[in-house]
Amino acid sequence: MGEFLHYFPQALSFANMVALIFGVIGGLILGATPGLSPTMAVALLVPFTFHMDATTGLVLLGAVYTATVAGGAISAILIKIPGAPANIATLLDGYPMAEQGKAQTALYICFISSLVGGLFGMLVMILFTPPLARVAIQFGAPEMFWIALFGITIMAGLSSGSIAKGLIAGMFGVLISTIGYSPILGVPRFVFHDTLIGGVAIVPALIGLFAIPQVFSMGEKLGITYSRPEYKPERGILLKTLVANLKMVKALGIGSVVGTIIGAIPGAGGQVAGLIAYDQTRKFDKAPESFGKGKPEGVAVSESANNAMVGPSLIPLLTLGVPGSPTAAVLLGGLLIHGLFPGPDLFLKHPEVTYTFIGSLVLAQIAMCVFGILLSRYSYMVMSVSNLYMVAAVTVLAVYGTYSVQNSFDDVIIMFSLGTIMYIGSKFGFSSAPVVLGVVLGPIAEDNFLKGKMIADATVGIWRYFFTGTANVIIILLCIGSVAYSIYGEVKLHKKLKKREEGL
Amino acid sequence: MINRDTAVSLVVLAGTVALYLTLSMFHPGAVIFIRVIVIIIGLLALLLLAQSILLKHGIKGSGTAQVPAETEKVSVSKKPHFAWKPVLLIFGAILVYFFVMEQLGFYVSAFLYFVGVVFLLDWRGLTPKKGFMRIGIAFVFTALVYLLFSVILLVQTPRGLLL
Repeated sequence: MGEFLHYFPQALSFANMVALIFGVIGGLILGATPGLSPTMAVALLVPFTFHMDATTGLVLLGAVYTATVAGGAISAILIKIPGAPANIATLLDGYPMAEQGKAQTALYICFISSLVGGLFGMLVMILFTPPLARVAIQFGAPEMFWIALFGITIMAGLSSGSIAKGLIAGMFGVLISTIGYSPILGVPRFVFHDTLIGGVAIVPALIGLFAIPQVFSMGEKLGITYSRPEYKPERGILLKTLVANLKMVKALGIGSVVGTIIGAIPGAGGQVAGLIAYDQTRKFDKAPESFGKGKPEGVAVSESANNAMVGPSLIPLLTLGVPGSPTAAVLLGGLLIHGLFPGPDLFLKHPEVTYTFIGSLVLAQIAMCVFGILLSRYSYMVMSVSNLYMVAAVTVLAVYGTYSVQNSFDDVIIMFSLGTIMYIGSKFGFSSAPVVLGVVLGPIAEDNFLKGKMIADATVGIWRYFFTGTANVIIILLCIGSVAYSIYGEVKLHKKLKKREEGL
Repeated sequence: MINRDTAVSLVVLAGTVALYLTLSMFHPGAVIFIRVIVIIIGLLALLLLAQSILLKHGIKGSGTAQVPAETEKVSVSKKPHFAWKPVLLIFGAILVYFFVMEQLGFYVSAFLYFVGVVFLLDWRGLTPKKGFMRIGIAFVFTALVYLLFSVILLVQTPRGLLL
């Protein structure tokens, strides 16, 4: 806490505040735009932060991350399409409120509750991150190797319906990361064309894997038109809503606590936080049947939960280098292009960057609420942007962003090739997030594997070096648990489907 | 007829075997880690094959954004369908964009790509007013990108004969 307070004023510098406000407004707009995922929005911004000071760049990415989660509630409430998976629970009561002519109240509740949950989650993050980082500093090559694999297993389970496909995608990402020169011997591998001499950099991979498949899939859905949202602005309801919202102590409390706990578990995901918190509040309510019919508490609990998970979801990223969500994986890319390696070193070698980033996330929560309320009356305009323009605009930004990092047209070719392969893969049930994580964590896994192998060969042997020791055993068990849990879920789903089929 | 996942697992398995054989072309020390990864992928392909045979139901994404089907019916006036034609058009337009970018420079080619895509993908019922509006939007977008990145952030862009 002491370090946080020491570095907090740096988050208030002019450049950081400009980045923060720009990021929050942009994030709210991108989050509210149907068809644009928050992960893709942050991925498109990563290369532009390369030209900024590392701290300012991270402030911008953090602000966009925070605001896209809340911005996704706008489309959930107004047109019943959640802008992000985290906003699924919000539409259950948010949309009925809009149908009843209370869209403005629902949006105000959404932003105020997001602020309450978000600040609670940030407080937990500030208290728990440094002690965890101190534990992680004890880790050597074998632990870091297992942690990299753990990150891939988490994302494999989170992003794909099939754990086998998720893991294949993750390992494919690791293979992509091995293109280029071998880290220890300096021998070229898979360099079948000059374009691949430098290997696959993080930015082309991030943008290609997240943005290009989305461009193609937006192209598929050109015929979709969204119904015009109901929004009747009223004067003087902000104060009334604020007072009523703050009285929803139970909903805000359950949302904040559930969101924080789930956010800290790598891979659990925001949509789970919102839905679990919503379900618990309904169970504890005196009139559970009123949920789903436009109950303000339903919006409050969902939004406080999904914003409470923003801070804690970054704990595994900042302490271990393991992103807990696809967007956190993109933020990891943002750290790496500035030469910042997440993990304990981040707090020791770059405390000014790390603590300023954390401080800016707190400010971003406040800015998100203020600008969300101010801009909510114009939010319906975002819903009317056609996919036609989004296809063109996202492609241009993807090309521009990829080129600008190394001024390399080869990177643009790599970005587009990876994106096209990923789009084809998505048609067969493979998703982008594990591949990205494989590309990002692959070099960490390979470096630590090779270092560990050399030490092991010279000392106790591979088995004892990699498979014994408390930390190794715990992380290996976590990897196995993560895979086993996903397989259990698949088998359970299969049985459910079979039972349903037999019932027909 | 074989299940889709069975076909995917067989393709991955064949790819893994081919890749494993290719590794002998490289220095053994440089590909030791890759060899481990390839073996893991092979084992995963076998797991997928077993799953596709034992669990015949297609398992849809459990962790991704699953919007309930009834949700979309209310606010979406037309059901999404899989359309190859626009995807191929976009793919072709991007290839032309890359080719033109090196000749004409980033901004001119970006403007032409924007205009080309919005006209190619939706030309039915096009009126002169709509056409001018689309060109105007493409111009404003390109100008904003130029202003923000080349004037304010001073980022270098691909240069051609033109801007």
